[in-house]
Parts: sequence; C-alpha cells; structure tokens
Amino acid sequence: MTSKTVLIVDDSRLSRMIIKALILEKYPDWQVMETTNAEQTLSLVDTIEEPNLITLDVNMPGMDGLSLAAIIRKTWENVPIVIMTANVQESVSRKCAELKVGFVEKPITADSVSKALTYME
Amino acid sequence: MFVLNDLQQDALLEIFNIGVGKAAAALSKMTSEEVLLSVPTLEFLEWEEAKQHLPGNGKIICGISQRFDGPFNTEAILMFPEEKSLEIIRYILGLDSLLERLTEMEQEALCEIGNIVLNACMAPIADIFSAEFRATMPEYRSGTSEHVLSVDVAETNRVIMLMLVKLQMEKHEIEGYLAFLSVLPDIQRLTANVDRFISEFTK
Repeated sequence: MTSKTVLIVDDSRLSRMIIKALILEKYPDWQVMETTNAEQTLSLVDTIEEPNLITLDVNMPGMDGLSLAAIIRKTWENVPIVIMTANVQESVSRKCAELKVGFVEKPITADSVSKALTYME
Repeated sequence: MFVLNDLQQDALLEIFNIGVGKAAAALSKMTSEEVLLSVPTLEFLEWEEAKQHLPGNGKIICGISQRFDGPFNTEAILMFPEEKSLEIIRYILGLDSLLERLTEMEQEALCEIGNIVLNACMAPIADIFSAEFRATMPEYRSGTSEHVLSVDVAETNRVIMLMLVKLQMEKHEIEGYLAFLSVLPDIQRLTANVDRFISEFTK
C-alpha cells in the first residue's frame, strides 16, 4: 500500500498514542498527525494537504467531533472521516450517517483501528 | 496530596469516558432521547473540599447509588433533581401520577434504571482491566448532593477521587450527573490498574 497520511483528533493523549502506534505498527511509512481539539484541527486544515483519513473523537472540550466533521467537510468535501467513540447512542450513529462519516466503537483496539482504516478504501 | 501524572490522569479519564458513553447509550435507549455528555472532570480532594464541588446548589436531588468492588472499589451514583427524577421515571414507565414525591414503586423503578445505567458504565471498564466488578444492590437516596454522595465519617479526612459527568436531555430539559467516588487505598489500586493498562501500549 502506498504511503498515506492520517490525522488523529482526540483530546486523550493515550488514545492518540494507541491509534498512532497501531497504525505505524502495520504501516511504518505512513505519516500520522495529531491534534487535541477542534480549534487546533481547523488551524491545521488551513495549512496542510488533504489527508487520506481523519479519525475524530466525539466528546472533546469545546466543539464536539461531529460538529467538527461538518466543518471539515466544507474544506475537504470527500475526505474519509471516521468517528471513534464510546458514545454508542443511536443519535450519534444517525448523525454519522447524515454526515457520511464512519463510526467505530471505542475502546481502541487493533481491530477497531483496522476497521477505521477500511473507511479509506 | 495524591497526584497522578498527566498520562495517568488522561488514561483514567479516557477509561471512564468509555464507560460513561455506554451509560449514556443505555439511558438514551430507555428514554428515546439523545443524552448529551460533558467532558468528565476528575479531582483528588479531601471530603470537606469535595463538598464545595458537588452539583445541585443545595437543592434536593434523587440518586441511585451502587458500590462496585473489583480491580478498584468505587461508589457510582446517577442523580437528577427531584422533580426531574419524577419526570424521567414517569416518562419511561408511562405513568401519570399526580403525587409530588416518588412512590415506593417509582423508587424501585428508578433503582432499576440506575442499575442498568451504572452497570452499562462499569462493564466496559471491567473489560479494559480484564477483571470483574461485584455490584451491591442499587440504593435510592434523596437529599442534597452532599447527602446523596455521602462518605463514611471515618473516611472524611482521607483523599477522595471525585469524577463528575453532566448528562443533558434537551427535549425534557433534564440535567443529571454521573458521579464516581473512591477513597485511598482504592485510588492506589485504580492507578496501579491504569499503569498496567498504559504499559501495554507503551512497551
């Protein structure tokens, strides 16, 4: 697989560490970027090329991940986005479907990260 | 004072965040309403100080409390303002009582709702620690948050871990809280488990 870029957005440092480690374990030549909140992410969006995948947490300080996904879509209309959350309410999965973003249940495991990566295909 | 390093604090919040997400989903399913969650807050304080941080502004609240013993011990409490507890229970059960206070049957129903929500929260935490929690029967409490989140007198001088998450159900204008209380040495057992969890990913 050719080298890809993944942007991880999660306020939890540990979650970011785990997702990054699991991706790089499988694809060591991929580039993984990290941001911790919506503000930081939107600043980054203005300065980088469209990544191949964005993983978003839902429950973050400030703007939540679903609102952030809607804003990112305005810049990168077709970028694959996957929500990684333990908030398994029907309303969350419905909003994901409306926004055309993927939905993967936490906790973060090798399987859940593999599932998140399938949204790039 | 008991202090966690940044990574321990982050991991602990994330682990509880996973549990709280499942608890919100269980409550949402029962009420057919979206449950909005705040970002959890985590503090280590003595009880006298912790009392200043409790929600409710001295108003009467209803709480369902369960003690969970396992990889660490914690008191988990689901609580709502009293008038909103009546609304939730009557909405879920389809009851239309005119009584201002919860009847015994309604208290039992609230305990069952608490049981479902609190266990939905603790089950994924047990899975993360590859362990099991034994839960006491849910207990109904009513009073100020200080009373509902009571701590044994013998433990008041000890450091308490207080974790709070606000739950909001906008359609019914209901605001409640999930709270978790642990005291030393349970906190130390909890952090030992958190360290084990972290070490699995930082080898």
